[in-house]
Amino acid sequence: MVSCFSGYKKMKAFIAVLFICISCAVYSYTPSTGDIKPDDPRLMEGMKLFKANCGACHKVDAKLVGPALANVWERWESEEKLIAWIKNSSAVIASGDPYANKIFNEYGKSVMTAFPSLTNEQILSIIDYTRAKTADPNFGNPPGTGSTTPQGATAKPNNSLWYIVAGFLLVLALGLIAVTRKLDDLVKEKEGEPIDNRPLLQKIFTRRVKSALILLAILAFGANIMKGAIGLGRSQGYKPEQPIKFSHALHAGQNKIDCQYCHSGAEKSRHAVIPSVNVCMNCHKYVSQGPKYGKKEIAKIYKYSGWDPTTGTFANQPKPIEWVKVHNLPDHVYFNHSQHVKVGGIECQTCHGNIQEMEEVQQFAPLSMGWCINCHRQTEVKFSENKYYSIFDKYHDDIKSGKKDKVTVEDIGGAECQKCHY
Amino acid sequence: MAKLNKILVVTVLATLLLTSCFRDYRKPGREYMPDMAHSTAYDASTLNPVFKDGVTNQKAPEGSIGRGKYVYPIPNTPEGYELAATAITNPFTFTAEEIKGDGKKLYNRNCAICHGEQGDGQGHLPSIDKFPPPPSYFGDALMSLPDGKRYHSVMYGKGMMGSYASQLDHRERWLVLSYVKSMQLAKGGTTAPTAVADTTN
Repeated sequence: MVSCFSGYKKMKAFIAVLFICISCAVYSYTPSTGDIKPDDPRLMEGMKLFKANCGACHKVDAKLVGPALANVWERWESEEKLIAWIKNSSAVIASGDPYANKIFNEYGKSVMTAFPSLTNEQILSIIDYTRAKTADPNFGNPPGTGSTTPQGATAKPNNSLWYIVAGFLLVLALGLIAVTRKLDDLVKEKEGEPIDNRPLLQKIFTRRVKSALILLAILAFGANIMKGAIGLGRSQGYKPEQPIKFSHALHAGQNKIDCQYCHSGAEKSRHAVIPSVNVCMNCHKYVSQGPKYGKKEIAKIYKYSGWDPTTGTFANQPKPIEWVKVHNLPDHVYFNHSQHVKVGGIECQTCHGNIQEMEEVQQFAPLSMGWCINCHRQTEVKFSENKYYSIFDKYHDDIKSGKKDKVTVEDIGGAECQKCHY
Repeated sequence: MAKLNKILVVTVLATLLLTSCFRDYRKPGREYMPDMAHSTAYDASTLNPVFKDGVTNQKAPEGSIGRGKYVYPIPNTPEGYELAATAITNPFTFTAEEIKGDGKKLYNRNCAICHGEQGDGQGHLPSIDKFPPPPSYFGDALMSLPDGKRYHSVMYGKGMMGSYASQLDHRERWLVLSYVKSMQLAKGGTTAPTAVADTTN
């Protein structure tokens, strides 16, 4: 019994030692770069923690707000110091550690967020993730999202199929006409009727057909002159070349950035506002490569804004970007964006077309007076919701008595000359 | 017959020559009475020969304050960030409707693209791996961040975030911050939105 008991005790001690050994082994476990298993749960955990806590300021392979994390474990004197730094960097700086103070001064004395809630185990898994990411820059990326493949690029609808079908049908029609003519001739020959032996062109272009064609050509000529005269000064379809190949299809379409993120004046002023270059730099300090033109077009923003991507500072002389205005109203017409966007609640696309699909911006609407007036006649005003219109007593009475079911822009003076021309 | 042929050829050619297929969409097209169409005054964002740098939208002279404009008194330095924690408080009192209405609208327009509509840091751009994800508003660090530091960050940017001083005005910045705070309160945040009656700044 005694020996059995002592055996049990020994067993217990052995298990305890084994447990400690295993935990130590796990604690000091560092995967060599040779055998990264992409689905290692520990690395996955590290990746998740990295994205949630570190990714806002650090990248593995490049400097962001803070330094690049590749080889960070070599730069620190010991792993304990690094863990202490992550948990509370201010304390490590205060302790007088030379490397901590060096890096603090190097990065403009901005304090790294403290992460006291991360356990040592979690911090080590993050470090393991950065090791894996150093060894394989594509580690953890979803398959097919390498830097060379543009993300979310949508295939353009293919029109060539329709041309092929149309061409095929045309050939078929001509062939059938030839066959029926031949059959007609055969029938005529059999019945002894005279056969028309003139060449095909002469058969088609009879005097009557020619006269009709001339009339048609004169009409088309007149219609063209009319169309040209009406289109004078309207520039519908105008698509000027811009100094930077900025794509609305990419920014507003794929990236789903709100129109008014950049055109912040649309609700506040007459102008929707061409964004100043600092708005571009909100994202492009980080995004230095586009899916279509690579670094070429974004390098232009850096040149205009004076940004030096190697040092990460606005070191050079900035210069305004000379964008070409697409939508030009004549000077004798007054237009105000805020009235339409804020008060009227009109969508940008109503007048500008499907901007989120345009690679290059093109004038969508004719911007003619008829087009303006037509919309003012048809568009219903948010009449009862807007306190500004409370003074229109007659219309409110008419709506109450059922005489009127809606109030249009024209009703409240939207077709008066002086509204836009003064 | 030959005469008819000639007329046909001439009219068809004339029509073809005049068709608008030849329009170059890189150019604005023709116009009449350009003196009535083009402004003699310099419009915003047009070239201006009067100023040395050729820009019509000039910056206000240094030291001048626009009417009704707010001047943020703290410089963009790490010390300034710490100072903002105590020196800057919300001078506005917003109604719940304002916060849920305009506050939410401004947040979704300017912030949600990265911070996420839920404030979890999983906006559209981080989710398609185009921009690093910002920290969630509901972590320990941001949950208890003083109002002044938040305003300082919107004003000058913080980390990867750029400055929003040019897109949001003084009132809008506090409105957006109040909306963020309302999201945090809904998730168990303890700090009530600070409303100080002092409107001198």
